[in-house]
Amino acid sequence: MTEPLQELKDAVIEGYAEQATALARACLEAGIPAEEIFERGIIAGIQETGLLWDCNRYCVPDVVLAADAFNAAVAVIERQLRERADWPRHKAVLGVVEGDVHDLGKNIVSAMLQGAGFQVVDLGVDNPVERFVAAVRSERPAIVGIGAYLSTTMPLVAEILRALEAAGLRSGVKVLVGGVLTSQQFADEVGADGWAPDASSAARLALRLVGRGDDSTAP
Amino acid sequence: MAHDWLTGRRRVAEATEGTPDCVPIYGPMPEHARYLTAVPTESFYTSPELFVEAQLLLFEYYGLDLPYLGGDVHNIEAEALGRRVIYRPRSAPLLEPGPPLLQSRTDVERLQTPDPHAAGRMPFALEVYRLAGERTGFPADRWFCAPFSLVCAVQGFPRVAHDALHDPAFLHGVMSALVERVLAPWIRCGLHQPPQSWAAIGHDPWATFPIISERLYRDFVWPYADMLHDSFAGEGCQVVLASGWGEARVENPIPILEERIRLRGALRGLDPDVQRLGPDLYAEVAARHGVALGLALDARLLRDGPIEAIVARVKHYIDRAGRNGRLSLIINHVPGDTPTAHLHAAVAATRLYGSYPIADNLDAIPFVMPAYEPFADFARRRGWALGQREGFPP
Repeated sequence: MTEPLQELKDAVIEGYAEQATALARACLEAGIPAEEIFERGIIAGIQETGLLWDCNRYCVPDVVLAADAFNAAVAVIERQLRERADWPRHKAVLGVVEGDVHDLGKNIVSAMLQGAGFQVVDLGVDNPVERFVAAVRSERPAIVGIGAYLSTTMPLVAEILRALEAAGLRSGVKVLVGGVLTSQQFADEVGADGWAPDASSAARLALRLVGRGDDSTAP
Repeated sequence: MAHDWLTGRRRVAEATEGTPDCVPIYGPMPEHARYLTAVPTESFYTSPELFVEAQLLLFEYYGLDLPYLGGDVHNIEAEALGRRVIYRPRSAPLLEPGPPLLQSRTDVERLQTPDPHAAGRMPFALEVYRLAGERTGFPADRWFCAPFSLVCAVQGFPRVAHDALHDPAFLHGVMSALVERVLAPWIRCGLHQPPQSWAAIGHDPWATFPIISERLYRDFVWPYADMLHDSFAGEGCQVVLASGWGEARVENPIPILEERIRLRGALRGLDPDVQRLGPDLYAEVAARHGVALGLALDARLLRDGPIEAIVARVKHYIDRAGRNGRLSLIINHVPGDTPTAHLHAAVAATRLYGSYPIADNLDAIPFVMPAYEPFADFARRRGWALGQREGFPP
């Protein structure tokens, strides 16, 4: 790997957002193609972060910083990436339910999903049920990720699933649920397609659900 | 006739020191109170009268042992410092995410102590203390946002994570300023509000695993809890932290539980941690340190039921952790639309299985769901005119 790409990868892993931005810019100015910067610098960094999480060497703050650095670097090359016809291969819509502004987990999942090759449409926090339905209708994603982080807001996940069903959209999309109080049992009860205990697992699960379970791009 | 709050309070006090007549059960459930009384979010969380009266009504309805006024206590200080609060129909008030309030060392130097009689909802909280004392006959618990959760609310977690790893001196400076210029004056003001209290409890939702690491916990949670505790100890006041949860997610939870005992003087376990680690572990650690134990019943179980599972959980916790006294069961922030039957069942099961001496074989005691008055009838008898509920399906 060329030195600037290695430095970019390290900046993502170490969670230096400003440095990652500057390095992504420097890579572009040096004539390195955007896809190579993305794959070998930014994606490689977030994948390594996922591995460090998996082996308990990273905790949430480390991953938050890496996700920030990832997003900062992606923003630099986003326009060039969008011009690629074959990228991304699948789309995911992510959002946190209404009455809930906890975006920590959702942001990490977003970075990990992008690292796994998904285009992520991020609805942000505090989304009413109708916004999820509208996003599925307009974006036609392969995956919808619903975050609910409070015992008082978790019941809204079931309402979103019912609304997708009522709108005739449920069968065309795989629904993942997440949040620190959620569980596989909760996912089963509300009729979701999957649940994962952390962002790294969520990305692997998303790949499995879209039929790319052995994909080596999974973080 | 005024409700007798003293009997339950005595039971809780006895459970703190030894064996009462029965395991007490109580807990904060502001969203459930708001749902049942059909008070809109902003009215509920800005009107001291509605906030106090609706929750006391609910505690009386269920026959809970302690008037435990909950709310978004962790937002009060950040709001007073300038964070905007947003109100949604189906949740407690939320702090609107935004950029860090203290970007530089200069910002930290300029940090002003909020005026407790004018800033944000500090006047609301003070009036809640006064009203609750007036209505129950004893001082209400004083609450505050614990230092680590306050710095997360003020700065945003990503900035806190960044500073913890890359500029810990700045983060320590921010936290010291928040403790000295915001929290200590605010806690002192709350304690002095008549009827005066001698104890305040810090709510610390961000000090939760795996949101923070054990290193962050050690470096940024404990020292500031100690700083607050020590600064009030000389005044004869007990200022403690009700630290977060998530101990089931660390490799060895026992040191975390022991540190929480040190910070609070008691041990509390919340589901799903208690479910994962088992009530025996909490009982053993609490007994070893000679402190009282509070075990919170899973809010989702209480909402979703069935009643048989709720009763089984109550019975299990009493069986495994309540035989030697010093146990309280906590109903902790159940969703608004939790069926009243589920909470009546939890209370009835606590009374049935938690009466001392605890029976050897609790399974031999059949549970019979008691008859209870619908909440709407109870509320109307107490003069409440229930309105149209916002945000929930009819």
